[in-house]
Amino acid sequence: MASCYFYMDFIPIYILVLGFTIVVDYFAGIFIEKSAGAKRKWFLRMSIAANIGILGFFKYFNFINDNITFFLKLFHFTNPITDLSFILPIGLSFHTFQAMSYTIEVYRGNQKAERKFGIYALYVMFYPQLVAGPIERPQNIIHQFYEPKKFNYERAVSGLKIVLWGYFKKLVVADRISIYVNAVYNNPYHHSGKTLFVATILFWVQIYCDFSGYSDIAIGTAKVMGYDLMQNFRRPILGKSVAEKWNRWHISLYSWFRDYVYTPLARKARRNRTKLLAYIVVIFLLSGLWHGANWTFIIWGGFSGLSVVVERIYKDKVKPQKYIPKIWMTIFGTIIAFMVTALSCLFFRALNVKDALHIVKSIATMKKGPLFKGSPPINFYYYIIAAALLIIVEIFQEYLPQVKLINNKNVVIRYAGYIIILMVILMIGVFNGSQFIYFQF
Amino acid sequence: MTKEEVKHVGKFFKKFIILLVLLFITDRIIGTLLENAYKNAPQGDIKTFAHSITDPTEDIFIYGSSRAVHGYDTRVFTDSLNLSCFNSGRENSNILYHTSILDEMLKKHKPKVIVLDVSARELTWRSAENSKLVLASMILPYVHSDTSFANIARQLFPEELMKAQVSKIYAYNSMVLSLAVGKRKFKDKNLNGYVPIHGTKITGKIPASQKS
Repeated sequence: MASCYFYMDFIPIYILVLGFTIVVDYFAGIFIEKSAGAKRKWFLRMSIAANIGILGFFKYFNFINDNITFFLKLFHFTNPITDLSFILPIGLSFHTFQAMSYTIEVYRGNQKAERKFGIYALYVMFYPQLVAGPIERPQNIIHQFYEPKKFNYERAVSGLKIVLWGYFKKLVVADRISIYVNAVYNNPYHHSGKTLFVATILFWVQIYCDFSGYSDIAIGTAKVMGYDLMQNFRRPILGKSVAEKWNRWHISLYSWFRDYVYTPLARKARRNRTKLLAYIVVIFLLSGLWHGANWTFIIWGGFSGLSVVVERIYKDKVKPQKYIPKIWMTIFGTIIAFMVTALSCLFFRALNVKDALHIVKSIATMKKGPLFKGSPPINFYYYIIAAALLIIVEIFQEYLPQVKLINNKNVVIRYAGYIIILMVILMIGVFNGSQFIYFQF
Repeated sequence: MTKEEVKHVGKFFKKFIILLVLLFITDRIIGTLLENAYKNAPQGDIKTFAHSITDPTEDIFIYGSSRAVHGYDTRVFTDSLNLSCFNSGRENSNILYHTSILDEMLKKHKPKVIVLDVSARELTWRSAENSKLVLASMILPYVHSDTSFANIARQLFPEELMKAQVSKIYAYNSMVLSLAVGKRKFKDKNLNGYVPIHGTKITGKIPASQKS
């Protein structure tokens, strides 16, 4: 009921859309389990078609229609079908993918079909992760709904610490940096190459903190209630290669594509290397499309996939680890991979392809103009402080996990850590009530 | 609830209260330090705002958004009209902001000329919402001492007022650096509220859709 209320707080009528997928997948799961052979596959296809159909209708109808209109215009035809006008149901891509993972796992025999409708509905609608993930797997979460929950001090404190760090990422880093990024990206033609470059790099930090901040809040909240959700980010900023960065980024989505799309395709491809590399690009293209119905997302996905493929070919052919010491591989790998992934994000953030290409050109040619109007505004120092705090903490978490602040055994250090984080949030956090970016997906 | 659960809940609330007390004390100490810095050495936007509402003396007062802040050189008004001039403009503000501080200023001083620069775009809903936040950031430090500001806050942004009443630091949100390093940074730039900007020329074509 709490999950229903949470979802209906946005647009109440959309609960029917969610309800439809829940009913379809609930029965599909049971029918898949009961049937065998071709019938079993048929039920799975029905369930996937229903989910993709809803996702396609709400998310991609206008995009496809616009492209048809554009194509027909080239031949001086008009498109009789007009765009539909509605707001996308919140978190549609997330709960649709979560619902599909259930029927696929039942089909594969990794998960028993859930007989209790309420439990299955809760699996799709569990409110901490309903609107922006992590996209859970049934094996990880459904059994937890059966376990009796008792208040546990250690678990509650541990969950609240994750929530606190999530708020820090969102309010201090993401929302602070968004002020600069929005100002630049909403008027890209008014800014120099240097400004666009800095805004693009900062946007990567913004989106990472915005999304991982939400994931932390969701994971922490669930933990307080006694549920363990899967990890969604593992400090991608410190990934030593482009591929590793993606392995640490939005883990629940990319592992979804790996398990349900890439692995079956790779099995069919056997050891055909070209096909395997092509499938990597396909996965990233699909992930781009998952994010939004816009060519900018598709280009972003394609660019990301190609960068992974190029890196893999380079590593296989050149074998740089033979000539370069490990420490330099780590340093250069981290920096280069960061620059590649961060710069690709300009397609993610740009409002349209035309703007994105202008930004690419401006950065590539270092379009003349100052970085700031006069000296840097005071806000710019906040961006630097916020990003620096994040990177320092993540470096400690990655390379010196024994150094702890809010998890320190010493009570004085631990409480000092809580107070420092809360004070920083109060002093430089942005409290303008901005939405999480991934809510739109 | 089992006995063990009760024990866990008790432990949780005990530690939570300790944290709240520590947080409250730290908030009041740092908040007081920030309050002193704010009152004793206001800089930049804070200085402009404080001057407009606490000790206005000039003959001409200019109000407006960034166009006013960076466009109305107070020295030109003084040279041409032989009248003292102060630029009370504020980036991202609109008529809501100007009305509030103008009312406050008129209680203390009657200038000879008031220039109000408003564009149609500043009258939109979005602009009003942004301006509320700008106004909030400026008047929250005064809500404890000035009832008229407290009333404005109560009407326009009651949630912000509540947050400022709970946390003393919150009233100085985003001002820490300005208060700490502002003196050196803004010393030569602010000419009676007018802030000149240099080196902003961008080369290349700007499409019509992006032209403001």
